[in-house]
Amino acid sequence: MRTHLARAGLLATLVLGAGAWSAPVGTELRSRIEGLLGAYRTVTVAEWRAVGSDAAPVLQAVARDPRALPTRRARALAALGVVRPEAAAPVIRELAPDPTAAAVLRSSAIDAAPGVLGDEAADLLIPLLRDREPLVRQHSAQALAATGAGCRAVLAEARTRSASDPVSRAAARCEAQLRGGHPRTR
Amino acid sequence: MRIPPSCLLVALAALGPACTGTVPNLGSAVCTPSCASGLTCVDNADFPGGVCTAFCSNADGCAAGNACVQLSTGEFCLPTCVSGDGCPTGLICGSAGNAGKVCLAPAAAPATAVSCPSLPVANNGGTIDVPQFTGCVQPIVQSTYAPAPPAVGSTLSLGAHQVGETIQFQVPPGTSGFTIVSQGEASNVDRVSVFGGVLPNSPLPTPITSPGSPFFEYPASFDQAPSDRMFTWSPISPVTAAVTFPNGTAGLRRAAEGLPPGTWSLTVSDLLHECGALACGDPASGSTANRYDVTVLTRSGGIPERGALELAIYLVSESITAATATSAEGFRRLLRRMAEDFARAGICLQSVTYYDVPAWARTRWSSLAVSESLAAQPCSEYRQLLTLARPGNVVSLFLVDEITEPNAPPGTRLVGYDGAIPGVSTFNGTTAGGAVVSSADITSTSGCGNTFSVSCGPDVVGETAAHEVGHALGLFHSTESLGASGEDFDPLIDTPQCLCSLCVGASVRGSCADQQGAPAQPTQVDGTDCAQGTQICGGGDYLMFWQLTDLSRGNLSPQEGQVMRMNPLVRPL
Repeated sequence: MRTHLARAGLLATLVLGAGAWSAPVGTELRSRIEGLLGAYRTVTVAEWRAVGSDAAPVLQAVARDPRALPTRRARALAALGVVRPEAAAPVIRELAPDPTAAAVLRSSAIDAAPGVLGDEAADLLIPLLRDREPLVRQHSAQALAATGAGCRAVLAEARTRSASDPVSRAAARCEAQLRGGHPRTR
Repeated sequence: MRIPPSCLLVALAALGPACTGTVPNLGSAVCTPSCASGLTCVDNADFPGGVCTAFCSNADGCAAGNACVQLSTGEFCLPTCVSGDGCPTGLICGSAGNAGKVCLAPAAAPATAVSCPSLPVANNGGTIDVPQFTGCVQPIVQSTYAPAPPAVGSTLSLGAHQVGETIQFQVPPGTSGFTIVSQGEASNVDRVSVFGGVLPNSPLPTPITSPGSPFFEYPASFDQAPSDRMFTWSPISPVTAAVTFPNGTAGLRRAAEGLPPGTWSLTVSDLLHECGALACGDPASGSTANRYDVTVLTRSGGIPERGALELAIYLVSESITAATATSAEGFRRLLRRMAEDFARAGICLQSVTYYDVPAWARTRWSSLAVSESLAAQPCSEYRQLLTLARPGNVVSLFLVDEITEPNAPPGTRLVGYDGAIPGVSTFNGTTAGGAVVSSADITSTSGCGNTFSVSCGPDVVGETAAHEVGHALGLFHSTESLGASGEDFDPLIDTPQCLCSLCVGASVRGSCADQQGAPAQPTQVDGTDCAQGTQICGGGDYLMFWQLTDLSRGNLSPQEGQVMRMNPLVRPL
């Protein structure tokens, strides 16, 4: 893992060219990142911020590495959304709709989408309300309901689903928001 | 053993490893032969097994050729070195941060695995029959404790009592350990404001007295090093929790001697009540309003050399069933990993029963949110899931499809979460019993080889499950992330520690939490920092290290194994 993270990190650095984060990632920083990705406990936003944006190449490489475990990729993606959101955006757009990716990784990308993509997240998430994977539908509906944006789509989709479907469960929250006149509900 | 500053001794002689322990695996404060003049036999977490050394203070007071180095238990004069050849026999030359290289104790050797059948028996337990519930339940249950020979034990049901009440109970002759389980009523206060934060209001019987002498008192235990306390207690589980004796080095030594039989007493208490003396800042600090059902489980027969353990694994999953788990290669590898880890604790994992849960439970919990805040609430989805555990003398694990963390960076997925340290063993079905493990990686096998890898799903899920079971059986993290004080290490002297200021690179050393002017986010120790082979920069390969990395080997120390084997769920063999 260490070796291929090193290779992947190097590759990412080369691909991204001489941008703001082209400096090679040192052994110490790489070890710190790998350790945090393997932490049993929660790693907070503040802890990832403390690692800094130099971590972005390694995190992006892990998030995209099909040989890395889904939970590890999810953590890397979540961390990337903290240390360098603009680098996380394309990974989120790539992974969330990818039917070949593990469900947990797709749901992770969906969770990260609103914070990283802002208002654009709804355009990514609304089509996923009809995804075959229940976990993907669930997280998409929850993300849309949480922000209020896209609630009408959640409610419309819920009408075609059984009451136990995750979309229908999220619709209840949307209904409450509509009743309360949530300013972002559309 | 924490060395008070008043113990300053000016010594001219060099440090030497000559004090021999007399109790196998427990270390000893008895040095044979005694140390040379001016030296003291120190047998603690920095020098397990005993070393003759001298104390110093404020980086001063050592003879030429020695450096005064702050270790986790105090400041010691240590010979400087450039290689292993320059150190007294039995010590090795290692990094000591700004002090450069000095002679240090090598990392204590991990326990050797006992011989067990290669794989536990895997059973399909079918679907558990649990009526659907939507609200909050907080069951108070009876123990199923049934210690098998050669150990003998008793279940002492002491009934429901108010905080502040003192209860007497009889400890039978030959008792070497006990567990006290306090199950709170649903109306109890479940959280406490503590110095600006919020912690679960966890029950803790304190003080505890043995015939003729005090045994444990919570606030007073702060004055002792963790390994010197009769108990180490951490408020993790709200309303219902257990304490098991022994769970530290001092307790193990006491357990090996046997506990005095006769009339003992405990006072019912919880964190909220203790906050009265600690001035935590909660307006209700010191309250005696809460009530707890208290049970004492005793255990005789000393610390067993070997033990047996059973697991119940509940598949709270939309994709994995008990039928597939009993036959899938990924699960076999997972169990092999767990069995190998437990064998290092002297425990044979004998059987595992997989259970399916009803559809309503899968819908409710297959994607589970957990955080410290949610874990502090008995009515959180996380705590409610734990109530599904069926009665029995087994550790309950819940395999869910994913574990989300609402307070972490969005998209974070956890690999596991434990309900309490220790779990409320033999009281399955409460909000405190069991641990949750993510099954999200179990089918990812492309990175699996002959050795452990963080790219191998079954290895990672198995190691995570073993780690969480370690917590359930009473183990704390051997080293916590900051590695900056005695409280960041477990209460066992034979697990290697990893001290930030001595083990991390020079560029980040000044940001360790124990350094002056440390930033809000101090440096954390990682696997590489903690793989230097010394007692003070080791442990990255241990099962209970705070991270899982490619350096992880699932190691356990002899004392960690003893703590696990004294849990009521482990049958002596």
